[in-house]
Amino acid sequence: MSQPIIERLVKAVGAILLGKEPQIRLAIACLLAKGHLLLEDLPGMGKTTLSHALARVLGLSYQRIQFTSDLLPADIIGTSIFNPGSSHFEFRKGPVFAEVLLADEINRATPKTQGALLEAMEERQVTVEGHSYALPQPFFVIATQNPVTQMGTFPLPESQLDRFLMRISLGYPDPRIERELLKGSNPRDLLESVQAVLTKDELSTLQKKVDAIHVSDALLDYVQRILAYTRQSNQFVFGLSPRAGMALVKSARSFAMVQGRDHVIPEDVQAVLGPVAEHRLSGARDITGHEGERLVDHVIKHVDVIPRR
Amino acid sequence: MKAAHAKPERDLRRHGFPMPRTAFVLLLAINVLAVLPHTERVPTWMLLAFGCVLLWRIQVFRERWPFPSKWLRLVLVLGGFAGVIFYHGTVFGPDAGVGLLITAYLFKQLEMATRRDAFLVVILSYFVLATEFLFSRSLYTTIYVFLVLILITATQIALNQSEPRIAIARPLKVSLKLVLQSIPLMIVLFYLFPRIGPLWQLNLNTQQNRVGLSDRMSPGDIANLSRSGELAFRAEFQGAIPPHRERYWRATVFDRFDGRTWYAVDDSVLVPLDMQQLEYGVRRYQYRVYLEPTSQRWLMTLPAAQVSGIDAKSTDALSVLAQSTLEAAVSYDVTSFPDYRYQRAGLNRLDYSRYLQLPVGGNEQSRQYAREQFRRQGSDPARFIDSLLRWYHDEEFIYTLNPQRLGRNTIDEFLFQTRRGYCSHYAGAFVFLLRSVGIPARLVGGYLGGEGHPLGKYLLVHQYDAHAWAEVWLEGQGWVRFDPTGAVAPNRIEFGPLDSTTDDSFLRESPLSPERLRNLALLAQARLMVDYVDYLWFKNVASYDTEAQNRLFRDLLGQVTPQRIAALVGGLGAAIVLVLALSILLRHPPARKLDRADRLYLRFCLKLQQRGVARAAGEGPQDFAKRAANTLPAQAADIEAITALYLNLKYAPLQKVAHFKPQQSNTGDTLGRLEKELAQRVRAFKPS
Repeated sequence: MSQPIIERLVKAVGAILLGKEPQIRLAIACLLAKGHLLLEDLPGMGKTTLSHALARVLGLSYQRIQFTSDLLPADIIGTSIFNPGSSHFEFRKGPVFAEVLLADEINRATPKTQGALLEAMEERQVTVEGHSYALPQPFFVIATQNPVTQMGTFPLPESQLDRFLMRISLGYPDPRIERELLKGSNPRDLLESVQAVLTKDELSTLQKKVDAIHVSDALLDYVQRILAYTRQSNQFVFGLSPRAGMALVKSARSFAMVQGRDHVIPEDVQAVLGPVAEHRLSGARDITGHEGERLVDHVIKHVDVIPRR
Repeated sequence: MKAAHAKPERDLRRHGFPMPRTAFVLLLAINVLAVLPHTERVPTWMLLAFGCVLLWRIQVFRERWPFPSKWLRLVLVLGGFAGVIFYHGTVFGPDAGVGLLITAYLFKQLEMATRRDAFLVVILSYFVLATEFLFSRSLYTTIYVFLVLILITATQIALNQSEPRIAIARPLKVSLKLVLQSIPLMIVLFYLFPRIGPLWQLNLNTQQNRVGLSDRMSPGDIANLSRSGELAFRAEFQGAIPPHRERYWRATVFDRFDGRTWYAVDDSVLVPLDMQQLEYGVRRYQYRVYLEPTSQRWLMTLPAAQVSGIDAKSTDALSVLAQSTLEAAVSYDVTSFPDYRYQRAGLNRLDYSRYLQLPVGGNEQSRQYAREQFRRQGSDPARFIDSLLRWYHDEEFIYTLNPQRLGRNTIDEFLFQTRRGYCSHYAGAFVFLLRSVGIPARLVGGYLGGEGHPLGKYLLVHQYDAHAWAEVWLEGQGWVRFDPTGAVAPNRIEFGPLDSTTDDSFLRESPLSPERLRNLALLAQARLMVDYVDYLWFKNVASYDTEAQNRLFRDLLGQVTPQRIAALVGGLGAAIVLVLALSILLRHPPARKLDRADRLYLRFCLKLQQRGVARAAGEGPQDFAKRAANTLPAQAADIEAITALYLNLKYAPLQKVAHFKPQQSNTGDTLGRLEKELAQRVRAFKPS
């Protein structure tokens, strides 16, 4: 019943971002799990396109903020402005009060501004001058960033990376798809034609369904073996936290649903392990913070799916 | 741009390998702690050199200074060796040996360029530390060695860490665990490992300045000894402890007098005890003596003594001699007969002349006095002795540790001018007076008394209990003991040296001596407690030698054969290993038994593996099924069916499983059926 909707979602986004179905499925799984998404890649790989497409397909109001080094917290959250008519200060809501917020190049802003956004993500509300303003429901942040090894960026610290359920890289398209891209028109032009596939009610039904996806004891055993491995192996500075473990199970559930299953199998865990764990792990000799990928491959390879003893 | 952030490369040759800071700090600590107990034995310049080398090593670690050049190191090491040899005058003996070892240990620090060198220094630390046992085997040494041992092991662990900064607690914890785990094995090895005689004899005659009786006695010698609160020996009694006045612990006999100094009878001229001349008497005391090292051969006993448990010789002078000088603590069993009589039948001519020897001339006034007094008593030795003792008692003789210095005619000056003296004065003069009228007499050196210990049935005899008394050979009675000190200060005989002097001279030279603080009850109790622990340690551990081991083997095995010893040691070793294995097993219980579905699935994987399609450890069943189906298209249907069954059994919700076989209502039963189906399919599965 839910499956056709999800497949429609995937197809609609896939029509804009060609040849990236696995990433699209992961991104949808992330949003269905009510998680925030971090897209990371070099400029021009389709990050913005994907985030636009997702927002449109989900039929949600969205705002886009281009992060720059002089962006201030108030530019995101909003400011109080004196209204001469009522001679009161009125709060002008900032772009954060949207259902989908596209934070482009989040690592270009100063830590203070990043902090303001990440706090809003965690609390799902904004407090200005003693008043709390709830953010809309649903509320997603899709942030994009360039790899931190590029110049002039403020890398997000681990604690803030943790706020993102998944981090996805898009990568270069394969040559066949690229040819099609080169032949055709700019995908961004197509964005306008994208119609919403879901209603808000359907979205919240889908999100509720994620929790109903069955997770067996055997699967939890596997997840725990993975967690234990990251904590015991000397490859890592520190292992995955319990929160990371919960994120892993939640994402696996959501991904299983996207894959059209009512229960989670080890392959689901393996599929989401990279996006969920890469940005939370760092290697014992990792300087750039980008060894997570290699480490996750290592974990998948070394943790047995079937218990041996 | 990247390079600007990186630290400049460490020059291995100049500054050595990048040692973790924790390991370096630990290494410095163990350097100091391993050498610390040896400070008294090495020349002072070596301690200075040690400080300099450590400073240099720190500067190298901080990359301020390079390692010294090869030539400088060579000069330093050779200079160090030469200095040690010059200081000790020999390369033999433990002192010089330890000196050379420490020199090598010291300068190795200056070429600790590689990790291997650092490990070598750690191993050397163990060795330097262990050499402390050549000099002391006390409980406190052992505790110290143990603590440093933990630190050295921790250093070794810290050196193996790859991170530059680790908390010091981590290696310490691991090391403590390792050392504690090794204790049971250590105990077994200590008590049971066969003790093979040394392949080389280490000359342990260290010529230390030991406090104790010497083989010559000048006036004032024993008085000096009396100022020392050091322990001489302990005696543990079975049954009754003799009263204080019978505790005349005999060390040796002084037979020769040169007018000033008494000389102990030479070991070589002493003939064995003449058993025929010895009458034992009725009473007997049985005890075990734990004797501190003395650098003499004398074994302290109450005469007449039968000694066992040590290779010893009972002599004609009623003293007992060990085979060689005692450089380490020993223990031995003694049976003593306090009512003995010896040589009642008579002395041989040689002895007779030996015990009448006097220097030619000198002390004329004393000789004169003796002759007159002897004549006045009707030439009766017994009455003469009596009169002398009464004379000591009645005249103004003072028992003191601070007698005036005596000039040439010591006996004359003492008896007729100063009249202040200690036991050696009184006994020496007494023997002199007897000899000058032709009565055979000798001076006996040893200890009188001993402090009873409230916790154990044993006596503590200290150096301040040192005493000298006289023995006189009387016709028909043999050798009879007389203690002239008793005539002057009866308390000395009845209660001991404390407070028995007639002035406050006792122990005046050591203001911090525990004896001074004896009156504080709590302190006295603490002192006795400490001694008791020391005593138990010595009794059970430090005095454990080949002899004791043989006794233990006899007790444990009955008949001692190499096979039985091997069986005992092997059996105990096996028992320890078994206990360890059990504890590991209990702490980490085996994982849950493999699920039946998993077992079946693994069998299925094995079958595929035999066809060349092996599942990688991290490969999920679905991925594997896809790959296997691609490789073996003929079996694709089977592979998919089995995988689907397995996945459903393991991961699907129960309703789904029930749905899988709608005719079954009971889910548990359904699981069983599914498993059965999986089993059948796996059994039937024959990939080709």
